[in-house]
Amino acid sequence: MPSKRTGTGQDSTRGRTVQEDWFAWLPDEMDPLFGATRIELASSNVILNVALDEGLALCEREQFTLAKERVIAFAELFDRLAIRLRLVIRTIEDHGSHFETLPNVTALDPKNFRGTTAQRISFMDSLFGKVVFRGRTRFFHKLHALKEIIEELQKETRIIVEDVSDGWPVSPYRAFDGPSRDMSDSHRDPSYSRPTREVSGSTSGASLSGFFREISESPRMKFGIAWGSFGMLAVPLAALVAGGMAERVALFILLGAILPVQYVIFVASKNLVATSRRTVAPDEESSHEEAFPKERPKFEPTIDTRVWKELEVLGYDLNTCMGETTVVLKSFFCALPADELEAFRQKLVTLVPALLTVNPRRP
Amino acid sequence: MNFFFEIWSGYRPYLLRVTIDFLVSATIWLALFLFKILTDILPITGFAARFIVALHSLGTVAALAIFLFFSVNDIIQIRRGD
Repeated sequence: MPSKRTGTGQDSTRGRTVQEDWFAWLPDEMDPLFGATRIELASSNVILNVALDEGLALCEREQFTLAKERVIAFAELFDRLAIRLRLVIRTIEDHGSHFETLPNVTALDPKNFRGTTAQRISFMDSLFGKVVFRGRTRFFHKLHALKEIIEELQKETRIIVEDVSDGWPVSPYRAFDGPSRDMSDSHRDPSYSRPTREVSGSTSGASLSGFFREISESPRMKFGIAWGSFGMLAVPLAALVAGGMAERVALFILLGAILPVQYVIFVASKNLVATSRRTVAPDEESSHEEAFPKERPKFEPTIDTRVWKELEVLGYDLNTCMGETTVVLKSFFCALPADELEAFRQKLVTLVPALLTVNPRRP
Repeated sequence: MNFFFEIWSGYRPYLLRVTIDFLVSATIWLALFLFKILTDILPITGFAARFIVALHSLGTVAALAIFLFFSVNDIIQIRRGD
């Protein structure tokens, strides 16, 4: 892309909008680096979309075993793009904080996202953008919000994959509540609007690593487990101490048993949720069957389609993050003084080795 | 200002989760404190009194242990996520 301007830098970009930055031409020494980064991200995104299309097509052709296998491949590709995006964001963040390069920035728009977590974080960023006028703070907040969204999307994808590989496609504790706008339940095929009877592996998600991860992520679960362990351990032990047991012994028992007891509470709560789903499901199923007696397939394939629809939403949000990152990167290049380019390039190629082939001196 | 912002953005996830852990544990301490006020007002003797004293001491230790476990687990999980 030829250059329209002979140089870039903060002074020349002040007063411009992000849209003007996007259409501005970069100098020859910056353009290849931006182009290569953009292509690198876009190619990862294309591969991800191909995997997504393939998964959805397999579901449509009712090849559910294959579709299930592709979920893992999709998650790996999802991570690949997410990691690249986070590396680019981190590079911009590092350079911006050390060299004080400040590009034009607009806050994230919740309307551009479909998942509830991404919408919540972007809403907070847009709110922050309205309250805070300092461009630098808004810039770093946006980068932070983007990183947070990507991390959350990765977590949600990982949970789906774990659930699918464990034989239970939908985790009851997943933060993902489904798309809130474009894919509300009213727009969904009724046959996959709710997870129903495939709950035989109800404790499958209750592994030790799942226990540590879920209690770390859910304040509600922390609260329940803390009070549960207090009630199950401290109260009976206090009764035993009152009955004559040595307090020191009770203390050792308390400290030794607190972790196993918490794990027992965690497993029990998971079982409880699974049981309640099992009892609720038949009514819902019968109502669905009444409403759609012929369209409903007889076994679990619909669940696989639902999983792929959820992955589609996560992919959509990651795609939005990619677009936002690319826009920020372009504005960043517009604000980047020529003498800082080499430092930025070195950071970028260190983090994204695929860009090593880029020659900054290319005419 | 930038220096402080960097520190804040680096420690924000840790701070948020540890604060939640503290609040969760604090609810147990708060409940024990309210219970203590009640026992100060009402004179209790015998087994019930011994039970309450033991519950206070064990409950305080349990809340502290829960806070420590949650905090360490959170730090490990955040670092794993990084």
